[in-house]
Amino acid sequence: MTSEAAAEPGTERLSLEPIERPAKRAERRLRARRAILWAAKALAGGLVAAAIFLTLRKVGVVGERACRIAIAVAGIQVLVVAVVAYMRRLPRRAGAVALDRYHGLADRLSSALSFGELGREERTPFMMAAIEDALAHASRVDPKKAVPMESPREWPFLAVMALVIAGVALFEVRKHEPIASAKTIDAVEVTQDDLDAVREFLREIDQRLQTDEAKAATHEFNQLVEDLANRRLDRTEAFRRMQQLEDRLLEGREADAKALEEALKKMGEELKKSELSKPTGEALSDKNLEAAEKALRDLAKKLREAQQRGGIDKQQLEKLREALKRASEDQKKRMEAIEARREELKQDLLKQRQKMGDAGASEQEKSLLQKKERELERLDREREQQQKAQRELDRLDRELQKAAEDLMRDLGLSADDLDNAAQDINRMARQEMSQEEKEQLRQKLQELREMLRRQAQGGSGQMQRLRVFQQRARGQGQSGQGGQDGQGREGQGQGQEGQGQQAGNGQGGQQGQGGQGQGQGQGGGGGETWILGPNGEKLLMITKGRGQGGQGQGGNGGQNGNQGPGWGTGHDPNVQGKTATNPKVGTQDTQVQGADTGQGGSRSEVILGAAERGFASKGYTRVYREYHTVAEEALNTDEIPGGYRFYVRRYFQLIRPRDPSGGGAEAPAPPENP
Amino acid sequence: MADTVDAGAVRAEVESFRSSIATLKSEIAKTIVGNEDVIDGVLMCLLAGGHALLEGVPGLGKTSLVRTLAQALSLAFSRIQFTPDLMPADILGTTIIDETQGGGRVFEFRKGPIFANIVLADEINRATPKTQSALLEAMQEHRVSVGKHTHVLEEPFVVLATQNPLESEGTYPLPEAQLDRFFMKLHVPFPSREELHAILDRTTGEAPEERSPVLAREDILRMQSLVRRVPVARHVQDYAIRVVQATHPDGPDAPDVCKRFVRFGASPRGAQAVLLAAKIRALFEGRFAASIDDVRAVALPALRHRTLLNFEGEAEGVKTDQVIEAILKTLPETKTGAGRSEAQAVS
Repeated sequence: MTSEAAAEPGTERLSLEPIERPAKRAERRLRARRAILWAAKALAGGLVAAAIFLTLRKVGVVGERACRIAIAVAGIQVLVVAVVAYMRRLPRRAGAVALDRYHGLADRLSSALSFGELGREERTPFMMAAIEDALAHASRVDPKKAVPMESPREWPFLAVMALVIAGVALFEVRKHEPIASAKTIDAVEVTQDDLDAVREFLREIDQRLQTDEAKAATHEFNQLVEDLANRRLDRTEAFRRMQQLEDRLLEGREADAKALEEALKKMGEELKKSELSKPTGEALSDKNLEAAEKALRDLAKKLREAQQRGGIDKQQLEKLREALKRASEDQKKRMEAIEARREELKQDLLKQRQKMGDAGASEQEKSLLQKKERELERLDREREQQQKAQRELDRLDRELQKAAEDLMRDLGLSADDLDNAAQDINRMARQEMSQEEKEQLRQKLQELREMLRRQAQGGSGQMQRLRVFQQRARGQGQSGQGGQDGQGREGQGQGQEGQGQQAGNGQGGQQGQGGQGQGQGQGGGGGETWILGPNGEKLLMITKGRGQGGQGQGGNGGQNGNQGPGWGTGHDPNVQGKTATNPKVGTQDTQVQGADTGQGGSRSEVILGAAERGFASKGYTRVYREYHTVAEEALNTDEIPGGYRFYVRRYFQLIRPRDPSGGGAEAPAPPENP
Repeated sequence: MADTVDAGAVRAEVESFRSSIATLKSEIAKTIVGNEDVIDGVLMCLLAGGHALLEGVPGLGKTSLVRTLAQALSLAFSRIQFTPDLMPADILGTTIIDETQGGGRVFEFRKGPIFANIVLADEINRATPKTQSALLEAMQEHRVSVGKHTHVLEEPFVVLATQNPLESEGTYPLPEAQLDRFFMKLHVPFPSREELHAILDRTTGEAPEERSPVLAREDILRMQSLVRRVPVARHVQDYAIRVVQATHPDGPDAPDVCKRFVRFGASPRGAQAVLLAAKIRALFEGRFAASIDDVRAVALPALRHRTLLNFEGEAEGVKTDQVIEAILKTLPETKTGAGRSEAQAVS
């Protein structure tokens, strides 16, 4: 190749394409190799960072998002480093120098490129000769061989790190979720005995309920009691539930009972003035709505029969009409009177205020004004009550008014009107009954709330004492050390009422109580007893410590081992049966049920026995019922101050008779009118 | 077309150069066994117009090499045996009173041995510094000033000095300024076994025949001119510069050994020597431009005597060759930022 051939026409530059092309290729390969080597280093760092972040992610130190970002940054930095490494400037003639080095050309190519940049006038013959020499050697250069792609020295490290990352990635991500710990609540404590009492009350009232609304309230009350029993409620929740239930019981209680009663009483007074409606009036005056309904129906029937027979005394009819008319108008008049008085007071107040505003007010005037304001407030409340009662009485009033008008014309229609009035009274009676039931529920709810409040004030000591008391009230005393010496005595005798109870897990603690013994019974101590089987064979009967209540414990046979404060520490020496008992002889148990003759101990004996052995005897039940009735009457007649009523009720609740079997307590019948 | 013709002429000149050198080497090799590097170095000095300092223990053929070279070249040769009592006038020459034919007396300058083309300064370190410094002007300026007259030395002028590194007693180490005047410092190695066989064969037999001149003075001058025309690419020149810079302890690319043990690096005269020697080496190999390899090859003889060790280096027994080899080993051949103006290639 000559310089002529290599020269580009019209330019002063030699065509160094044969040198430049491989030189550029070599340069690109140099860039690529550098990019690979740098990227490998960056990748090593990135993998380390990724492994660290992945590990931190697995152990939950960093979040998923942060981990992803870190790994993305690690990946991106590798790309950035690779791009920077490729784009970064190489030393001048680096490609040609690389070719020269590999092929041993002693810088022919790089020098030729350098000389080729010179202008023709600057180029010396030596340079031309050097260029031609380089061109002659350019054909045999190979950029691939001159610039081989080297594998990064870091590749073992990269491989190891890749394996590490893969291994770490295989582990499951640990999610730090809060442990679902059961929320422990400081459950409100209610003794089983009290719960039994409330349950019994609810069971009884449920049997008497008539309206669905009251039944639903009872159901909710039952649920509340069960939640309390299962210790699912803390104090706050318990009181909230009770308040909610009470609010519900108070809902729909639109008719003010007293206002309604008063209105009915007034109506009864008017109806009593007629001979025909006198029974109805008396019943209404006595607040006996059922009787009033019956009397009205009787009156309607009477009127129909009188019409069929040919008539009734006109004078009586006129009186009846007058009575019915006044009865229907009375409530309206009363409302009008209240309204008039209220309006009058309002006007007075307005004037008084204007007067005070104009000229000031003396103390006396101020006092008078305040008094009038209070009266106005009272009248407002009374009006509201009257309005509620009026709504309830509206239909009855209309029926009575219509009956009075019909009596002027047609007796048959009047009888129908009276029937309708009877129905209205019946409706009111039912509603009143429902209100009573709800009131009872509310009362019980308040008792329960008060009891919880006071128990909380008393602390755990009081609860403990209460439990002990209630246990004893059931006649379930703890077996004491005294029972150690107690033998499984078997009393025999005759008694009207007797019950024996043996406790002590076979340690012989036995306690019994009974009236005058005429019965016969036996209580088996714990241990093994040989009995004769049906075919005369001997059978070993293992009896538990709780003996069969010595029924018919005779007389003083119920000597009891005094109850001790704790569990016994010893054993009955005859815990496995008396050694004196000859197992070969065998025994035969005979059980005899004592006959209840209706007699028993005196009241003082019963009370004394109850104090010592619990409230689980029939005699005590009778005594309790008598006392409780008196107490309820006293409570109903307001003889007991409001602040002490709880104590009285609570006292009687605590000393109520218990079921001798240890099951549900025999609650006293709730007072009919608490 | 002119370019092509010129390039062809260059190729012819280079080829002729190579041929002449090969002939000269061949003639020298008839007497001198081995020592190709030393011979090449001496020839480089001759062609570059520089001077060489040959260092080696006695008996390695230093003087024989120089004498053979002088015989192979039809150049004036003189030998000066340096001794402590050698005076500058003994080298440069002296002015004497001479009687004319008419009976008059005139001052006449009698040239000393320095007035030759090839001067062998044997055991130069034995002369006093005063006498050594008498060579300074002659070596640098190629002229001699005696009295009021300046005498130009005939070209080519080359001083080939020898010194013995072992004997230090009674010697005067060359001052740095004079060392820098030497184009190269060549170490004459001990011959190998085969070389010794050849030496013994040649020297213990019949009397060796005299060498006949193979190159004339004009040939040498033409070759010296050709050397100066060899171009050097920018990146090659940049490499030579960086090598020289690296010999300085505070240089940008100085290796640790240099920073630790070097007191002062090579002067710009060292860079000139490197580049010139690289050009000559390129011509030796028939190339038209010097390369980095050429620079690397000549850096050691051209820079070893120009790099001065510090006290620590001297105490540690560090050789300047170690420093330069470290530089050549660590210095990258190309570097970003170098050779921006390629158009200013050195020619």
